Amino acid sequence: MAYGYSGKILVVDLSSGVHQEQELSDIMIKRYVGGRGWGSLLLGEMVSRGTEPLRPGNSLLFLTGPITGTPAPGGSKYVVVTKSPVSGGFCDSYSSGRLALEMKAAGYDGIAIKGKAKEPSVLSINDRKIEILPARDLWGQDTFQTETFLKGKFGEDSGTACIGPAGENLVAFASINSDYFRQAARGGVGAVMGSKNLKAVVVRGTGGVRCYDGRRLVEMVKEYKARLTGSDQAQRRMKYGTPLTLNITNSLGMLPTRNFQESVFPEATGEIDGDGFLKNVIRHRGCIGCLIACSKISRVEKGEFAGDTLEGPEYETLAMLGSNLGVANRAAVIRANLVCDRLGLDTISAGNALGFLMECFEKGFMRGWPKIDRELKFGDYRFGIELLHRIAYRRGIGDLLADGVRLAARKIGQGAEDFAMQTKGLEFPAYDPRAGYGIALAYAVSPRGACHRRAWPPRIELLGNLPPDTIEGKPEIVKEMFDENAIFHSLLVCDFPCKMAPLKVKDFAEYLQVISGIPFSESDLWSLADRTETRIRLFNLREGLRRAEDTLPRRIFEEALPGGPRKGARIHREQFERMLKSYYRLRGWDEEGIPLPETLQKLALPSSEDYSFPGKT
Amino acid sequence: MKIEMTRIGILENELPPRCRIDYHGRAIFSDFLKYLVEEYGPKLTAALFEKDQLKPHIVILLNGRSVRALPEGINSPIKDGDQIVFSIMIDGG
Repeated sequence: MAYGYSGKILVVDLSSGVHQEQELSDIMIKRYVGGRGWGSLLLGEMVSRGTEPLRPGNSLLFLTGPITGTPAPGGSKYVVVTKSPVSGGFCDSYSSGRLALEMKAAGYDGIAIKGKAKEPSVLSINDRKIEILPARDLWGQDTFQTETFLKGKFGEDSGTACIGPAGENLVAFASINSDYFRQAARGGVGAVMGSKNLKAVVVRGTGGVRCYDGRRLVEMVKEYKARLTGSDQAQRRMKYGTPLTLNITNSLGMLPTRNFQESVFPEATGEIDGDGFLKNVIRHRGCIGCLIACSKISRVEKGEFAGDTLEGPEYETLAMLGSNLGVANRAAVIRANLVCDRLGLDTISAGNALGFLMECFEKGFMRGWPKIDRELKFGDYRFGIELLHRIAYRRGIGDLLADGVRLAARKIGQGAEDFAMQTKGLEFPAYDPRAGYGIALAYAVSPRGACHRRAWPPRIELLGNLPPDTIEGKPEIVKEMFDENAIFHSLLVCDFPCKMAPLKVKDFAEYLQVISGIPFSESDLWSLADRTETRIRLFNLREGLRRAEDTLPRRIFEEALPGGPRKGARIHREQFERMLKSYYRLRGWDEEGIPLPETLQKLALPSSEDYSFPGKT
Repeated sequence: MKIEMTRIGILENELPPRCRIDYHGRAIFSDFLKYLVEEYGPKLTAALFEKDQLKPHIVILLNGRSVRALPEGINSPIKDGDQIVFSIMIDGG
């Protein structure tokens, strides 16, 4: 077995209670490396076409990569891969946490969970001792209570991943939580875990990760530390964390405001932006082994939410539970964040759901809707926070929102789909795509739905040297960013230390060589990205997600931004279509987004005959 | 003319966080930048420039648009009421 890897995936069938170990194949290591790459390979093999995401036939994969558990930068992350109950397609959702390190220490590069337990259960892994334990008493507990219990029972050093009430109640944007404040939150992974009656996974290991050339690895980490010290970007990220992004998106006119009706929120200044946030920060915190420590612990000292303490909020939360709801009360955002964490809800989608409902009320669409005791208005954070509970427990109007904005809009009708801000069912992150054509394209083509983690074009088209309102060069930068992140997310490293130091793909090719002992080149890694992205495309096509899904809500095409620096901006459909075609061409896909035979051959992927594309003919 | 200036997350020791500047020079951004350097001292030059080029991680927005992406770049025209933001390159949030 190559160095860096544990060499095994643990496969657990909750229905039968049987588990087995699957050896990593040469192909898994050399062509797919880890993390996202493995997810692209394994999900298609383990989940049959047409499987309902919340039925036992779906699989839930917790995956690490070759960097995980080594001293290399940013290596304490894991990815959860499954068939998404939101999109019906491929979903990868990332978190950091001790779980990743403990999995490697226990001797597993990944855990694949199939079937459904007969009763609420905890999967316990203690080195090679695997147990499915009853957990009826834990069902109904929030994530903090659950984790505290697990740490008490299995040890403070255990790695844990658990769901809250939202996951138990199959909320479409339920998260899986680790280390209290870390979430694999996007795409409904928590609902899949809940559908399996799996409350938590607990892992403890006593092993370690063997590195091929430990001496060179230590040298490289020292070089990285020196690079960080000299990087102004890294130093600023350490000081402010992600909340500084809000100052910038507000200045650029891309900050979601009142359900993406506007893109600037002057009330945010000094309140829910980086400067305001710093007033509540009591200390910094980093993921295990990370030198940037971009995470912040914040505390509310006075007022109605006095005493609230949490790790966060991050930028996405400040925007989606702040400006997007017309809320500039920092303490209220902290409380909403805390409620989401405890209930196990994705703050991005939760902010979208509340903003969407606020606009529905504003437009008078909710008149006559049953079980409404009160109107939800923009800025009403108290009722908004109460609704988070109703969503998690599917009570009253909360049940409508618990399936996400796409389905809620279909039920409400009256044209509400025009401003349900989602792609493939996944709610928008906190960047208005009308601010830049690259963002619009990235949201549209992201396999899991609207996503800021696959590519972040504002770096070039709003902060760099490309204008935001042209299409030239955008498909190229989106593809390159997608591919770079596909590499980072297959090695399974955090992209922040990568981008702030910066560390490039070439650097990570060397890290990979030094850790695994396999002569990976930079070019091998770029090929991995192409292969992975096309493989994921094949999975989505197999599940019926086609070109028509690579789009955006009507608002983005037809409603111009009403003010701010990007006043008048919208995405023109004809230009969007041209970008989409170019993007497909760059990937080696045809005009319908179906990979060409020569592309499959070049990437050593199975021929298209192995996949049936619904509707192709 | 009056220019609104803000800094975000950088230049804490070189510029005030937010101010309005009464500027009487040529209405070109690069000239305004020279004025700022004269006004706030050589530390600002060192923080912004390397070998006469804007440092890659420095972002300057003129009315919400990156100066680097404007057709005339650093020599873009400015006018009364313009808003200038100095910030740092970020990559995601």
